[in-house]
Amino acid sequence: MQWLLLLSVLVIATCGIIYELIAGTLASYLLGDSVTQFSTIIGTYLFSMGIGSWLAKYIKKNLVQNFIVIEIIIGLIGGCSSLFLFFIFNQVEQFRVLLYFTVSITGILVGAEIPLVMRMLQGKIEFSELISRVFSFDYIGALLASVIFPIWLVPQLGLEKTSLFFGILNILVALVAAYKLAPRKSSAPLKFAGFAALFILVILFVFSHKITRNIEKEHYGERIIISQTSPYQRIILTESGGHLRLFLNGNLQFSTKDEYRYHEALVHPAVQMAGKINNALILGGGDGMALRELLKYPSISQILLVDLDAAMTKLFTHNPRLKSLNSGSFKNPRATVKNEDAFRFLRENKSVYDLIIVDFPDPSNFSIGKLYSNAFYSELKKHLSDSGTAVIQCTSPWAAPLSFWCIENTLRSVNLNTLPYHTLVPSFGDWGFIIASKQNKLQLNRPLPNHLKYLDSSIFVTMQHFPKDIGPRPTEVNNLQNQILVAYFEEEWKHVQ
Amino acid sequence: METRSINRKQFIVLISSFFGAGILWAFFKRFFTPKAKSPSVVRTQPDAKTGHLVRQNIDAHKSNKPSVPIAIIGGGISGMVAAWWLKKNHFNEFVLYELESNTGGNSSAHKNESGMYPLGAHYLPIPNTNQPELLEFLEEINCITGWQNKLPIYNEYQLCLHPKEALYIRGVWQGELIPTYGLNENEIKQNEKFNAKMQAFSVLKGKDGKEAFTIPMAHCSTDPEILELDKISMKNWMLQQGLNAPHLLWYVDYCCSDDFGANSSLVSAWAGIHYFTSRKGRGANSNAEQVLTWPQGNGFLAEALRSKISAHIQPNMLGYGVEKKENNWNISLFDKNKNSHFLQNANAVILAVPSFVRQHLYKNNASFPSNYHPWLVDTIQLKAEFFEEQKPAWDNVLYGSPSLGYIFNGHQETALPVQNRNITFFHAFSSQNPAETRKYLENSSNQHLLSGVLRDLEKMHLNITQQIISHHLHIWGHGMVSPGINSLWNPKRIESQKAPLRMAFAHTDISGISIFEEGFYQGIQAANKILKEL
Repeated sequence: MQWLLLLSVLVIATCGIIYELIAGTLASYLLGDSVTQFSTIIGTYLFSMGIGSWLAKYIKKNLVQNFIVIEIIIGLIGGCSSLFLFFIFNQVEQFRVLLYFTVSITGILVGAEIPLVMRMLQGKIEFSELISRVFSFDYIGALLASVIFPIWLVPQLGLEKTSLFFGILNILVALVAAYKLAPRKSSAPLKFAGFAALFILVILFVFSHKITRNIEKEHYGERIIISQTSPYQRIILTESGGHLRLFLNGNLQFSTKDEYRYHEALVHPAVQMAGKINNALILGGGDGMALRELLKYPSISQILLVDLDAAMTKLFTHNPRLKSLNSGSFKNPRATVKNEDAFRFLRENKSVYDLIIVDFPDPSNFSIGKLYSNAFYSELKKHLSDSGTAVIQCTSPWAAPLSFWCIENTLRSVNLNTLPYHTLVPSFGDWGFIIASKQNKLQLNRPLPNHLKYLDSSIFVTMQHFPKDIGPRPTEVNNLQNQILVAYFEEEWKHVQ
Repeated sequence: METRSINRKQFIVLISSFFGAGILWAFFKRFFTPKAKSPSVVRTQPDAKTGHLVRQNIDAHKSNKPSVPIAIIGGGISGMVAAWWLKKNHFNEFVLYELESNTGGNSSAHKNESGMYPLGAHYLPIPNTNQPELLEFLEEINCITGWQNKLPIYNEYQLCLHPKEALYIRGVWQGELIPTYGLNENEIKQNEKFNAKMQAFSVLKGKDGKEAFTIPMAHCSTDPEILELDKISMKNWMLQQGLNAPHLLWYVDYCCSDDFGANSSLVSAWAGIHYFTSRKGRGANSNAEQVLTWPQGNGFLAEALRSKISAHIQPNMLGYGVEKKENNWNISLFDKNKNSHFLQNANAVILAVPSFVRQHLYKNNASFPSNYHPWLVDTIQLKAEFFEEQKPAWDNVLYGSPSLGYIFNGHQETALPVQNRNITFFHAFSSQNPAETRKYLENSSNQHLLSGVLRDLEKMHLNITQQIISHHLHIWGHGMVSPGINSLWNPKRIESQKAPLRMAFAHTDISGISIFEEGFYQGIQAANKILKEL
């Protein structure tokens, strides 16, 4: 019996360290800044273990039964912790609170284990021998856990299965204790609870790949921290080397590494070319980053963002890591969000705007192709004030020159003046934009702001230059009846990828 | 060492436990799989019961209605256009009687929670520029939004969006309806030859200097050499030309059924060629291949017409007799709602009804036998997933099928999300004897009729049946007149379409080709005749 208990010390020590490592890893995946995450998680965990050890003294009777109960609870909470945390990450705003709560509970329970085991062994072994044996096994378990965790467990099993696996080990310890140590008359409900918990964890272990979609992990080659299907698209957020990348239906939308280049180029020239801007409209741009750039101008009193997908705007409003990317711009009182189809919005509303930012995905299908048609731009024009400007993200003029100039020709076909420009966004390549306006002469009325990370007025001059290989070319006008842009786009990107 | 083997008993236990597990599994699976709700089915048809009263000699007491200058009988497109044109010419004293509760005729529409849908006609090709009244009407209702270089600019949202059509052939969806996928060299040559011949006909002029094929029919050349084409069937003409590839014959059959309700063996070559060559419409932002379409099909046009003349319409009224009374006309009417008979005295009357009805109403009129093939139209409400996965075009056709495929009624929407929407499936019984088919349709159960529809749809979209929410089956007993051999240009037919003084006939039957443009043209002609003679 003595050796059985010592062996269980080894197992529960390993489990305890594993839960701690999982929480730390998960926090740095999801929240970034791994030093802070690991440090605060370990601190919280150790402190909670201290609380657990202290609380253990209040357990006076039925040591074995209580030990078994604690093992079962640890097995369930620790085992499910990573699944639970992944699941709530994009559901709740107070993710951090729940994260530290989970870590604390696990810590308190794990902290109570060792004192209980020592008291169960009390009197059976000499005290000095007891202390050294228990702690030896405890530390061996710690070493075992910290070595196999990064080398074998995470690469082979993944976080979800690892935590479930160690949850199962905890439960097995509880069951062995229930059979070998617990008094016969009181062991039946404990055995039942143990088997029930075991059943739950085994089921989750078997089906966890369905919940987390390992297939996509391989596809993206990076760790997926959000994977969500909205009625319109599949939203995937991946993390690698501290940078986040957002994919919609498998197409890259931004990388935090260089999104500032894209968003500065998208927003600021159009702002400085417009007359006085009172109210602005953003179509698409559910990540809130164009909004973030626009909010840098205190004089713009109202900004309406119309994005089809409520799942996107919700994610970028409430998720702690994502809302920090757009500086919490969705909560700014000057900003209003409407989840509606942009085409329908333009057709059913009459308001006029001084600035319209059009940040849609590339025209890779007919549904999106409609948003680049002459009919759409006619509607857009009706909403644009005489001195106002609109800016449109227009895919890559290098990878898809016909597509780029087709958008330009389509804008011109509804009698808008255009100013095309492009810049290098390393994650995307050479990327193009077009400013459109009823103004005859499009030029910077005011210099670009000084505080920008990338863009300044002299760079902007070079951005307007198109070398021969990506220069203007004749194309058809994209309309709802030919959807020629989708054809150009498919043909051109086929050769790139 | 002793080898381990199982004995007979163990073997039986093993096998039967496998078997038992299988049965248990099947039982649980069945038990836990939710049963699919079977789709609801509604079946409608024009009011044939009341309509057929015109065949009888009704001797009932009739109360007199106050006399009117003009009475129009029939609220299809031509009747309503006649009314609209009277109003346009500042003539407001007329009444229009319609048998059904709603006007519209073949251009009627219905709606369910997934939107509107047509019961029959569902598109208008870009009209030829020689119909100024039609262009005027289209401009009034904002189908034409402006003019550029003397060409109409059509409403972008009403021009059929891309992708317009798709043909399912040999397991592949191709983007145009004339089969091109998987053809051999000879077959490709036949396509080219066919297109070249049609191209030549479309620019051909007769000795009288008129275009050989145009819309309206009345503007076509009467050069006897060209009219010879009316005396053989389209199919025989094709074979004479050496155009005998099965895919091409199917395509021509499909086109004839689509516009005439009858296949290429039954319609004349003149009519068949007219289908391919008469549409020369142009717009600043469109061409002759384009069509205008709406979720409710031509119900949109019918409703636009109705709203302009609604004060004059009296629905649920059957006109069953017209007799000369001194210099006026006495019209016998049956009010379906009140179940009572009336006599309407009018200075002039426009009979906007098909010829087979007209011959009962006005017995002095010489009749000319024509065929009206029945149609089955099934509007199917489908779950949003279907449209997300399948992304149908507007017009979707199954190669080799006698059906006409289906149209996607939500096609003109520019906004997401994709929601539950309707498709409307058409089947013209274009090869059979019309009278027998009418009986067959009347006696067929819904289930039997739907099985034919689903057989085709399942070939185009595997498991579409699981996505169906509801069906609305609509049966047209007399779908449309078919321009048979030696019919369109038969002097007897032309003679039979002539009306006496202060009476006018308005219907596509006068032209002999049942399309919106002809109905429109005949409505204008009838109104003009009456305005002149009153």
